[in-house]
Order: sequence, then C-alpha cells, then structure tokens
Amino acid sequence: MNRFGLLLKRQWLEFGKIYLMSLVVLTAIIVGMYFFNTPKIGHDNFRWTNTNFTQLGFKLPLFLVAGLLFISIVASTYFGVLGQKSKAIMELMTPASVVEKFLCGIFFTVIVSILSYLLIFYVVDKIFIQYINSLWENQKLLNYHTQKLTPVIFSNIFDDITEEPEYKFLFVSPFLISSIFFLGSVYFNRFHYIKTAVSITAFLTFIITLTIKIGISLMKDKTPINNGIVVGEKNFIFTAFFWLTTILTLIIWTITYIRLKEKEV
Amino acid sequence: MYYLTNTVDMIEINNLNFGYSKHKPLFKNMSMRLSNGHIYGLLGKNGAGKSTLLKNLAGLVYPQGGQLNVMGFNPTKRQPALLSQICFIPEEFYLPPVKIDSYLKANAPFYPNFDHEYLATLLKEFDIPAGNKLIDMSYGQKKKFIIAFGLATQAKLVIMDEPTNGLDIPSKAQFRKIMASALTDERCIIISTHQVRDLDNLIDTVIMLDENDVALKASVEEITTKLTFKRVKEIDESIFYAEPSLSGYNAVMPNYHHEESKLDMELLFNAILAEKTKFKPLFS
Repeated sequence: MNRFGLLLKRQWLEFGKIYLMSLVVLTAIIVGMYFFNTPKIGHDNFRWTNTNFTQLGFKLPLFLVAGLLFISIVASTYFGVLGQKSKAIMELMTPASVVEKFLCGIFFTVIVSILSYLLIFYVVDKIFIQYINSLWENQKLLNYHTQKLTPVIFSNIFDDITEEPEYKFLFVSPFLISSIFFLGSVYFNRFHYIKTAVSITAFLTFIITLTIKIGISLMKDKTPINNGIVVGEKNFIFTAFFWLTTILTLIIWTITYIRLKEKEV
Repeated sequence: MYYLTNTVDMIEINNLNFGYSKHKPLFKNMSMRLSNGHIYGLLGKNGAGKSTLLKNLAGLVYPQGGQLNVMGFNPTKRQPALLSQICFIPEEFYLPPVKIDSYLKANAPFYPNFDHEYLATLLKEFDIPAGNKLIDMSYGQKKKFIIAFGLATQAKLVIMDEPTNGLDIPSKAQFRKIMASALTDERCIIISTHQVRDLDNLIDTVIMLDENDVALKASVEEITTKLTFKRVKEIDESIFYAEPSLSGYNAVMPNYHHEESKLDMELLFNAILAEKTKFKPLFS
C-alpha cells in the first residue's frame, strides 16, 4: 500500500504537468463554448425538458464530445512513455509490481480523469447557468409541452443527462472508451491515439457490416410481424448494452494488464 | 540460488536463447555465471548483443529459451524485491524536467537502502549542484547524476551500458575512481563498453561476446597469467596475434615463461575476434 502511494506520487511528477495543462485547455474550451452560446433575450427557439426547464441545445453534445476527447486523450497518453526506449526503461525498472503500475494507470486515466472532467464541466455549467438564469429572470416563453407561458429557467448539465431514463445505461461507456485507449497506449509504440482510433473505426465498420449482412440473410423472404421495437425489447436492448460495455471494459483492462506484463524494451 | 553470503553466484545464465527475429538469433544456448565482488567488463562488436544481454538480466526483454536467475529471482517477473536491488544505467536514458530534490523525493523511497549522504558526496565529486533542475543540465551532467543516483540506491547488481559515453576526460577519471570505490563484497558490477581504455584498471573480469555466445570469460589475472602482451620486432609462430605499431608489433602470445605484462584490452579484443580457435584451448 505504501509502495502504491509512492508510485502515485512518482507518476504524478511525470504525468501531472501534462494533465494539469490539459485540464486548463479543457476548461478554456468549455468556457469558450458557453461564452459564445449564451442566449440573448428575444431568442425563443429552446428545447423544453419534461420537467419544464429550458435546455441549451449545445450542452449535451459538448459534454459528450469534449468528454470523449478528454478521457480518450488522457488514457492514450498514460502509457505512451512505453513507446520510447529511454522512458520505457525508467518506467519498467521502477521497483513496483506490474499490478501496482496497472492500478496506478487506472487511477489516473479512469478515476482522476473522469471525476475531474465531471467536476470542471459541472462548475463551469453551474456558474454560466446561474448567470444566464439571472439574465432571463422574469422572462416567459411558450412551453410546447404544456402550451402555456412558462418562466424561463435553464437546466443544468446533470438535469440534462438524467432527463431520459435510458441515459443511465450509458454509465459504463466512458470506462469502455478509457479502457480502449489505455490498451492502445500500451499496445502501440507510436501514434497511440491515431492508431487506436483507426483500429476502433475498422473494428466497428467490420461489426456493423457483418451484422447487416447476417441480418439481411436471416430476414430474406420473411414477412415482418410487427413494426419497430416494443417497450420490453427496448429495455432488454439497453440492459444488454450496459452489460456488454461492462464485460468489454473488464476484458480490455485484463488484456491491457497482460500486455503491460509482457512489455519489452 | 542466491544466499546472503559472499561466495555464491549472483547471476546464473543457463542455455539462454534470444533473438529479435527468428532467423537471426543473438544468443544460442549461452551459459555463464557471475558472482558478487567483481566488476565485469562486457565487450563485443556492434550488434554482438551486449546491451541485449544486459536487458535480459534486467528483465527488460524476455528470453526465448533457457533460464535466467538473478539473485534467486526470475527477472522476467519484474518483482519489486529484485528491481529495488538492480541499478540499471542505460545508454539512452530519460530524466524528467524537475529539480534534483523533487526527483529524489519521488524515486529514492522505492529503494530501501538509499543513501542520501552518499549521493550528496557523489554529486559533489561529480561537481553537480544539488539545487539544479535536471532539464537545465548537459547530457554529461545528466549521465553523472543518473550514475550517482544509481549507486546511491545501494543496489546489489549494478548494470551499466556504455556509462562513459558523453563524459568529458576529468569525469571519466572521476567515474573510474567512484566505480572502484563502489565495489563491495556484496555487489556485482557489469559494465558494457566499446571504449575499453576507459575501463583499464577498473574491471577485474573480461566477458567477450561473439557469434551468439561467450567468446571469453576470464579474470584479468587469469588472462595475464596465460597470455603475455608485448611489443616485438618480428612475428614468429608463437605469436597468436599481432598488430603493427610504430616500432614493430604489439603482440599477444602464450605466457610460457610466466612473464608479467599489462593487459591490453583492445589488442585482446581484436585478437579474440580474429583468432578465436587459438585462444579457446587456453580458456576453456
């Protein structure tokens, strides 16, 4: 435990500066996006949530895209040092076990990166939403759900991401994304991020093409007995997605651990 | 096996097979034993596998066959107990852009026997101010720092790959002095180098790699007992190998008359490579 603490401290010395700089860049991007998308009085084209809040349309896509990029870049950077001979020697010769080095990587690329991302996004969102709500105080607009004039109160990011019950099934997705890029940082020696992104694209293209081909061959000359997906099936699909992402994440972490153990310089 | 006494082999290499490609093996069934209390000089041509052998010992690459035993551990497992007893100074190294003090705080605690006072002495001897930032140092200064840090870990196995590369002339002399004083009964030091003259008077055992195996492993004492190195005017049949010099030839020959001579490592190196079969019966 003591050695693990020492390892965290040592890795922070290496990883910390780049990480803090990336946090500054991330904050600047989020602040910039909020700054340029602050709605002016008179604007009336808002989305209304089920709980009668008005929603800023750019927030959710920004949250997802910035999160995807931040988490994947951090995960892809962590073991990138293993691709450089001189750094890899120092890393592998550090007197700590492979398990400790792996867990330290998980700590920084999953726990620290996801929590810090959520915190930064939440704080920026909170400040801007307070400011925007003060600008729009006493303003009313027609809510298309109720067809009534409703006071304009903007929702915060956590209202947005918890609005649809299906969103909870995406809970493991950031862990999966992080695990894939974490594996890429150990597996590839150079251009980790690009190579990992290209590999994912190729893999997904293959899976989608295969699914379509199999689907077409299975459904050929068959008559449909219902249209669309019923509620029970929808829940099953989301639950299956949740467990699939969980299992895939665990498998990819296991492969990463094995690759790290077998890494040579 | 490694026991806490000063009489046993620290490193056992049995039938080591290794190569970066299947068609071009670097080591074929190589076997060797290295013990504590010695400074080994590892010599060989470019591509003979000096650095690769050191990496095998440190667990940075994995053997494709055979067994490696370093202080009772299998280095491929990279166990912290072994890693904390290995000081590995690579030819190409990396130091983070931080102050010496921060580097020490982050790295020294991993080594249970780290000696801060000894480090301060070494840094003083190498003329490196302790308040320096590692990024502001020259390559030579960084190398001296990493050597000082490595020795201060008090690791039992010290592995150095071309340690004198990048050191200026006074630093090379300081390096020799420091290394000579760093050898203890518990320590085994292996130094790989091309610059054999830098290690004159420092190493006590020569290991020469050639053609996928150990071409020679002998102590300096054994070599100078069995061979004599001298300058001759003419070459005769008793001479194993000779190189022309200004006033005749520098020659290596069997030491039939128990003459005392100083080991000329460069000459021995060339001689072994050129006339391996002549030397083999003497050192087998």
